[in-house]
Amino acid sequence: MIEVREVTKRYGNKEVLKQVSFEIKEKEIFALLGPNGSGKTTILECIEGLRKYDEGQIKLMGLNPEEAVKKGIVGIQLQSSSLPENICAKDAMSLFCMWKGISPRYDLLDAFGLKEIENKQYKTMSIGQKRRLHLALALAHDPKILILDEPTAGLDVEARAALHDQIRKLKQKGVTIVLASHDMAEVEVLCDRVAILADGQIKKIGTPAEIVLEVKRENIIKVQADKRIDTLHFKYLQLQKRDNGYLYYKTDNLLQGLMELLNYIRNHNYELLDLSIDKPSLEERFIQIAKEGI
Amino acid sequence: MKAFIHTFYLKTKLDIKSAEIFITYYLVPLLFFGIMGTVFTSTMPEAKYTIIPTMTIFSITMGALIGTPGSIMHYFGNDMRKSFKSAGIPLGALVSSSIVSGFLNLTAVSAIIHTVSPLAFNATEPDNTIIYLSGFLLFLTATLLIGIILGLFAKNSAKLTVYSQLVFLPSMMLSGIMFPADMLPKPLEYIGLILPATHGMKILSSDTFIIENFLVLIMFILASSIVITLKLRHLRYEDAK
Repeated sequence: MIEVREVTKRYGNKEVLKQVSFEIKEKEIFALLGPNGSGKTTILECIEGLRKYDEGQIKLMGLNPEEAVKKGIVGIQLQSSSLPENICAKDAMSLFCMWKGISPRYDLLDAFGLKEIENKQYKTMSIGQKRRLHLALALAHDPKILILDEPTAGLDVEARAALHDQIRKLKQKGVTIVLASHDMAEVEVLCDRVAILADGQIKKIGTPAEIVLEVKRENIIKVQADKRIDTLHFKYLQLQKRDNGYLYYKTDNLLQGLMELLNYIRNHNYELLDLSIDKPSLEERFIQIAKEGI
Repeated sequence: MKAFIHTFYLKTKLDIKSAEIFITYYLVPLLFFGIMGTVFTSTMPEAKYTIIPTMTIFSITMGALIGTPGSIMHYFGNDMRKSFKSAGIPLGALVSSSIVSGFLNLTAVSAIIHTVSPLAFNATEPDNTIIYLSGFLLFLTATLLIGIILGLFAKNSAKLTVYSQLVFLPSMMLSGIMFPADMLPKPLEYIGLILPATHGMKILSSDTFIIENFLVLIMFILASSIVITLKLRHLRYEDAK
C-alpha cells in the first residue's frame, strides 16, 4: 500500500532522515513513534507530498505522493492545522469538498458529532472539536489512506477515546491509517504495527507486542493482603522486596504466578486488599531505543 | 472554476463577517467621511468639488492597506497555508479571492460615498464618468495588490502595522487628498509620485484624460502582480524544501 525506500532528507547540512525504509500494508494502522525532532513529521510530510526528499523513493499504491494526493487517495490531518477564525464547520466542509470536486459531505459533520455546532466559528471551537473537524475534512473524499500527525495531542480523555473509536471504525471500513504519536498507550491499543524513529533512522519496527517482548525485565506483581503471605511456597513468583505493607514479586510467567498467588490468598482465607501488575510496556522499550539513538 | 467561484463567495462572506474587515473597510472610512465631509464643506465651500474623490481615495487606501494585509497575513500563516495546501486549495485562489472580496467591499463603500455626498454635502459629481470609473478601477486594483504584497511579506502583526503605515500615512499626506499636492515642498511632491493614491487622486479629481496617470497605475498593477507571483512561488518552494 505504502512503500518508503531509503528516503533521505536534509535541511542544509543536517540529515533529518537517513535512508528510512518501511512498508505499510493495506487496512493497517501503522504508527510512527519518536522523540521530538526524530523526523516523524518530516517523513509524514514527504508521504503527504507536502515536502520534497533528497534521496530514495515513496510510493502510495504505486503512485508518487503528489499524484496520490491529486487523485484523492490520501486524506491528511496535519499536526498543526488551522482555518480562518470566523469560518464555520459547514462552510469549511463545503470549501474543502469543492476543491476535491465532490458534493459537501455534511453527513461527516454528523458522524463526528459536529452537527450541532456546524455554524459555530472555528475560533470558538474547543481543541477536540477542531481536531474532529479536521479529521472530517480529511475524510471528505473517502481516501484509501489516512495520515494523522499526532491526532490526539491536546485532547481530554473522553475526546481521545471518541477519536480512537472513530479511527477503529475507519480501519473496519478498509482505510489504511498512518499516524505519528507521542502517546505510547494510544499506539499500543490502536496500532497493528509500530516503527520507532530516533535520530532520523528507523530503530525498530514490528507489532507493539513484538517490541514489548524485547524489554529485558520480568513482570512485577504488587500485592497487599490483610495477613502475612508466606513467600516460600511459590514456584512461579520470586519476592523482590517488601515496602509499606506491599509485597513485590517478580515473575516470568504472569498467568501461573498470578494464579498461584490468588489461590494462596483464597485457600488461606486472606482478604486481598490491593493488587496491581507492572508489565513491560512499549514506553519502556521506546525510552531505551530513544536513549540509544541519542 | 466552480471551486474558484465558491472560494470567492466564501471569502467575501467571511470578510463581511470579520470585525477587522468591517472596521477598516466600512466603519472608519464612513465615519471619517461623515466628519470630514461636514467639516470640509462647511469651512471650505469649494470642497464640494473634491469630497467624492478625496473620500473615495481615503476609503480605498484605508481598506486596502490596513484591512486587506491583515487578512492575507492570517491566511498565509504557516499552519493555515499548509491546511489549505493539503486540501488541494491553491495559494493563488486565496490571493485572488482576497482581491475579489476587497474589490466588492471597497466598491460598495465607494458607492455609498458617491451616493450620499451629493445629498448630505451638496457635493458635485464627476463630469466625466468614463474617466472617473476607469481611474477608480485601476486605482482600486493597484492599491489592493499593494495591500496583498504587504500581507504576504509581513511575518507578524507588529511588522505588518509598520509596513502598512509606511505606505498609508504618506498616501494620506502626500497624495493631495488632504491638501493640494503642488503646495508640498518639491522633495515631498516627488515622493508622492511613487504612491498610487497620488495618481488616483489626479484622475478622480480631473475631467481631462491624462494618459500618464493611467499608465503609472497600470505599471503599479503589473509590477505588483509580478511581485505577488514571485512571492507565491517562493512560498511554494519554501514549503516543499
